[in-house]
Amino acid sequence: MSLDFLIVQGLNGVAYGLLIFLLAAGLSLVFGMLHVVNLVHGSFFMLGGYLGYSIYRASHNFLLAALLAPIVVGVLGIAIEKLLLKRLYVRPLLDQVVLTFGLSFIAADVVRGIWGANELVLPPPDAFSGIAQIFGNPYPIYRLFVIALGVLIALALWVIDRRTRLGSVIRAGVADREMAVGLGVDIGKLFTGVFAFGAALAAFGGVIAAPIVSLHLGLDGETLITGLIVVVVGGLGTLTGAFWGGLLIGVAVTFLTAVVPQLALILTFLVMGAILLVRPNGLFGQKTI
Amino acid sequence: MALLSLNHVSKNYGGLRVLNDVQLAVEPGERRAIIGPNGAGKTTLFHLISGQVPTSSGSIVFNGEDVTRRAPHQMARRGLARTFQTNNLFLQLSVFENVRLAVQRRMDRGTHWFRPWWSFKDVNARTEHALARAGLASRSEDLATNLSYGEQRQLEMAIALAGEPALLLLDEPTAGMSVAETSHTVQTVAALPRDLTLLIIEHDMDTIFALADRITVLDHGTVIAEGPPEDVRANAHVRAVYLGEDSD
Amino acid sequence: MANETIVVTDVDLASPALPVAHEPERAPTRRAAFERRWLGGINLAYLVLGAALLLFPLVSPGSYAISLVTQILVFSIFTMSLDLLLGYVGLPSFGHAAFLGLGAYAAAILSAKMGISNLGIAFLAGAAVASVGAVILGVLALRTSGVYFLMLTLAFAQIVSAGAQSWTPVTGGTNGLPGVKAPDLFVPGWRVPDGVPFYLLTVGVASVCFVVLFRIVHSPFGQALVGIRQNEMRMRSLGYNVALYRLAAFWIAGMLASVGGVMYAFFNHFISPTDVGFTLSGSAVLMVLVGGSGTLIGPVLGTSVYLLIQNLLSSYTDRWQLVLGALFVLFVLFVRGGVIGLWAQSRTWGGRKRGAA
Repeated sequence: MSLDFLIVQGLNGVAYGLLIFLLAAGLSLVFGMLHVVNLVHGSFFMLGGYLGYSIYRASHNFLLAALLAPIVVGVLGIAIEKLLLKRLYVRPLLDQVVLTFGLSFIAADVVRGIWGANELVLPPPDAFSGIAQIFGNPYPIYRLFVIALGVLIALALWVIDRRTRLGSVIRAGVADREMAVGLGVDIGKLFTGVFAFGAALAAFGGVIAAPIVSLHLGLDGETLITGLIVVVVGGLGTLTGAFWGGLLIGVAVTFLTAVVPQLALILTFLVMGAILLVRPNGLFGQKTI
Repeated sequence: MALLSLNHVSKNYGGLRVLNDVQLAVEPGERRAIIGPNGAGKTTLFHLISGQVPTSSGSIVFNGEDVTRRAPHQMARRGLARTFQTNNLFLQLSVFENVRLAVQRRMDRGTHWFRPWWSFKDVNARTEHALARAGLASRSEDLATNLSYGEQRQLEMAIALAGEPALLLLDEPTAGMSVAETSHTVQTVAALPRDLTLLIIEHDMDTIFALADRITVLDHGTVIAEGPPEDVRANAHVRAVYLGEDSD
Repeated sequence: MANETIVVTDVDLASPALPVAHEPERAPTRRAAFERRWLGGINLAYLVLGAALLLFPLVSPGSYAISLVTQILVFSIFTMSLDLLLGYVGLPSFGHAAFLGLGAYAAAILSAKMGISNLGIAFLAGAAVASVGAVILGVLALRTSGVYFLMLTLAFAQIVSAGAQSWTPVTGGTNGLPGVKAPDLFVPGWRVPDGVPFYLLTVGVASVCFVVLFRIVHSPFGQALVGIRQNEMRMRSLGYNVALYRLAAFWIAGMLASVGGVMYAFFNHFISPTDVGFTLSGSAVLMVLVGGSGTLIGPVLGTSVYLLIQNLLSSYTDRWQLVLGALFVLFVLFVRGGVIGLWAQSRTWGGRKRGAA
């Protein structure tokens, strides 16, 4: 295992981990605050990617795609939360699961109907499409861009979380919903906002992931599973958990896939199991549900 | 030899010391009352004894065996039963089924997986007997959730007694009861066989003085007095801390 | 301070204990109702159903119908086993498809790759693999609850599916494993061909599974599971080793699911990773909920409804997945307790249903 190999795979892992973080952040917040098991989150990621593809095909403008697709998916998220999900907050866990599962069926079929079953490729924007040299290793600039962007977004979210009133309101909502209501927080708007933001963030992740991961049917399920693993490992309701969990799982999966592809996912599961044995609420989670 | 003894038992939750160096020895057949102001640590004491919560330090010996690290189900198998401050029933099951679960475990029939439960005549008979003893026979097919509060408290005790324990922990058995219900509960408890050792957390002073052989007084996690009821009642410190607050 | 003496009298055993606040309607004694049944609980309705299933080939409109009912029965075995977890123990397992998959792949590998198509051996192999899986998942997942448990089981199912996808030399990889022959009973040569013979075999296996689950659920063990679902802490304080009970239930459910998987492999003559992933796990939960969880016959009804709709829809439109998804959504929003719930409400049993969702 040479140093070159470590560098390349390490960077790949970090890039992948940050993409998963974009998905896991929304997933974790929605779990932690709304106590909803959101099985349609992977669909948001996929929809974002496919929408981004179409917008790019129409406009040849990657930036437009990266901004417009999340907005569309965010609006969709608002609609889903207000019209459907809101009714199920008082119902048992499984009802929400079934609802979001049904929605993921619909989304998967819509994607299949509009974009077909073939793999689609979204090329990286021209500005970032070259190859750089990292310690003598050729490495796609786009992935470096993804890493930088991911870190930037993580920082921005951290600032919002820790330094703004919105962040503390969100953390209050996660920690104790009733108290937050008692303190005058409009919990309905907060929930809609968090859900929609999570959806938009996932969609954004889908767009910028598209040049790295090809767009194909089943992307929703695959990403959802990895996202769930990250959330379980990192802890429910915590952005810090989603970030470090994402990096941990991203790097682990990337290295394992490169070294023992047959066993990669199984070993990841065992890693997750091992972490849960020591910390049943994830690395950063608190005992909630 | 004491049936139950706690030696230098303490419990901390983070920085908060809930129980501080508690020494307790309960003789077989004794009726011991644990009293103290709210927050004194009485229910935590029960949680420690029943194994629900681990001690921070100290040891607990039950029937000659060190049970400090034992889990709740292990304590129950060793002859410990408890009731809870708020009703802890199987609300969607009938009264019969509630008690039957306790009897089934006591008779070690809980792992049979192929014969239907109604064919275990001995378990059913003992359940009926336990219900009759508790005065709930007429309600045996009603769902626990449809019982009145007092009846639910009765069921709570019936379930604990069905396990035929050697030591019974009663956590505020008369909480929320009317005068008639309280009086009835006191009668029931007083009528329990004398080979059953009782540990009772209570606030109602009449109940305590009617039932207890000895009283242990807790305040902020420390035992401040212990002895027969008359001694405790006369204790100036106790009066100041607790009895003085009790306006009957 | 007042000190009234409390007079202790003998507790009157015959009279009602305390003033009763109200006189509720008395529901019929559940025990007496059971004692009226035959064969330890199987009552007339089930016998009629069994007879109807056996006679169905005589009236069926064609081989497609037979095949559809066979499929329904095969998946009913699977969903009944899931109901043990969902409706009785109260574990929201989203990974049950993994156990069906383990059973199906065991049977498929034995038959297609090793030429062993004996049904008994397939059942044993499937149960063995499923047991290992159930213990591993159980030990890891049962320490968690609620959402964490759900996600862990979901991840497990997907990982089994991914494992099947990558272990190409053994499992055929993404393309799956074709060439599963017809099963042998007892003696090689007693092949059970497709169509009515396989249908009758399935009716037999499904009936046995139903009876076994029925007995388990109504046994003291099953009662304890229900108690655990309703009040875990109380069960512990009564002396029940809750963790062990849950693990046992998990193991039983896993093994029964693998029986369904073995039957599926022989039914389909083909198994692929997509057959056994997260989609099946989710659909199975749906089938249980649609029919009514906590009642063994509910999942059978739910499976029938789901598969009928899926088959009918896919013959009319390519967009059947969308319609099915929309139906899930509508169902969850507007129907509670499943089909059994609707039926029970219509008979004004009110709140006597035990364990419904």
